[in-house]
Amino acid sequence: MPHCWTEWVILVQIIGHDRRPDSVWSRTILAVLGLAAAVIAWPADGAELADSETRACQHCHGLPDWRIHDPVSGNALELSIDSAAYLGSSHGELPCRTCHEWGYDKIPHTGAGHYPIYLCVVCHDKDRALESFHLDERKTDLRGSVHGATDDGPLDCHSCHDPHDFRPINDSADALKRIEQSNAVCLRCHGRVPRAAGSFVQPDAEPFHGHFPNPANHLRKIKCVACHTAAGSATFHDIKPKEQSVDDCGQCHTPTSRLLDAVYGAQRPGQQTNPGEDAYVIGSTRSPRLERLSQILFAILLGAIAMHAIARVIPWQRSRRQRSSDERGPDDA
Amino acid sequence: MTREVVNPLWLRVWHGALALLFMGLIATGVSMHYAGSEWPMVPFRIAVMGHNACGIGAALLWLFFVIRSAVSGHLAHYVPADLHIIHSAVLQARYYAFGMFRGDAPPLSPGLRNNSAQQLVYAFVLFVLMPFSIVSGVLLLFPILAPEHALGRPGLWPMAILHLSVGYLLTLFVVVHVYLATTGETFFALFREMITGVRETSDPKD
Repeated sequence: MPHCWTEWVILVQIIGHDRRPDSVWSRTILAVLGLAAAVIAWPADGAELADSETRACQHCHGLPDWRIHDPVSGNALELSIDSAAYLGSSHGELPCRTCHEWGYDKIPHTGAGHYPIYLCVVCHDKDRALESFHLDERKTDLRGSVHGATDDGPLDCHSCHDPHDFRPINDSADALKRIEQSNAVCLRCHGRVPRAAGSFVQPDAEPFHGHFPNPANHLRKIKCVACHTAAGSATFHDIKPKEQSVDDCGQCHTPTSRLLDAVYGAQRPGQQTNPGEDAYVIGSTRSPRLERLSQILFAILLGAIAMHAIARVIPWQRSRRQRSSDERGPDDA
Repeated sequence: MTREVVNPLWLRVWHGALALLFMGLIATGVSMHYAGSEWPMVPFRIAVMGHNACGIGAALLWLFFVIRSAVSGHLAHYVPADLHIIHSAVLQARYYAFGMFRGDAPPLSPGLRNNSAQQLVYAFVLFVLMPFSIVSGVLLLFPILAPEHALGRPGLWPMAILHLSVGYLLTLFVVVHVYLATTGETFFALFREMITGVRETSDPKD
């Protein structure tokens, strides 16, 4: 049940939108009601949004769990924006109209000015602060990946990276936290309880990893992209079909493991991390001191055994020679 | 020639089974740790399964040994009771190092199944190395049981290092154990003794 007048207006709009109003009168009434809502809108509690226009947007889109059925695409549209999350995100200082530039004057919005695909790359093109992320390459890799042609068309940057809750990359020293943050992006759609709305939600990823020993542990301690991108991938956006994903233990459990860079390595170019101190990967992680100590111990032991064996054999051979010469007798000598 | 039964059947079966499992553990353990090496190795996936299976088998055998030998009183052979055990072990070591080349008699006290050096080493292997190996192995097998962090690192790291270190020591023990098994009256005398359970000792006049 709506709690205030504004929410009643929104309800009317939603109903009107779903009924596809086609008369000029109904469109006008809905537009007036929507504008009225925006005019009398007051700032959301605790939110310090950038401008009055953005505050007006937030008054409707700040409602929790606001989801409608889009008659055009057939998908469920998530219309709620968490103001606190947005304000704390990398884009928190931007007014809504920075990205939602055209087609948002009318209520309900026509969507005619829906932001273009790969808008991140458009906005951040030649952004020196983001140069090291090579967004152009990410875009190319994404388009060539399984996500570049899904049943619902190509996925956009925003399909995985929520622009309203976009945060700087996790520089945590704790590898598990970095892995969790990276995998959370994939699990929005591929998780047991998908959080992303829409028909592209895929089945739970966990049952498909039953061939791993300790599958739950592998999924918790490996970034999905480590195995599901091409070897040596620089951007980790070229997600391969599952038939081409890494299925050979030897690719990770060796000293030249692809895991070390993909999972435990530096999060951004130039960053220094020591993967060996972050995790233990059988066959990959080795303690140089322990290796050297064990080699010395084995060398000493085998040397001692060899010397001991020789010391046993020499007198035994001597006595055998002596015995045979005794048996031959002095005349045979 | 004196013939004396020193190894009961259950002990011989236990020893044989453990020896096979140890060989499996060493082969699969080396294959996992040195995966990607140019040397011929057990394929990683098989090595993991084999190591897990052999490890569980060895842990069960260890448990069986402790219970069975405690119940039968056989455990006394592995618990150093002699207050001068260190001195006796040094004597035994000197025999291995020098005495046996001079034809000295082994300093084995009559009635004892194991000499002092054996008692010390077997006690260390059975009651220190094996439990450490089993506990760290269980934690590696079920990482969810391992602490999230230990010694300032992810919890599995110290467990893995402990497991590896104990693995090295147990492998050293196996190498020395097999070599010293050739130092009986004849090259195969002690192997035969472990298989038949009978110790044959030459009489002095023989």
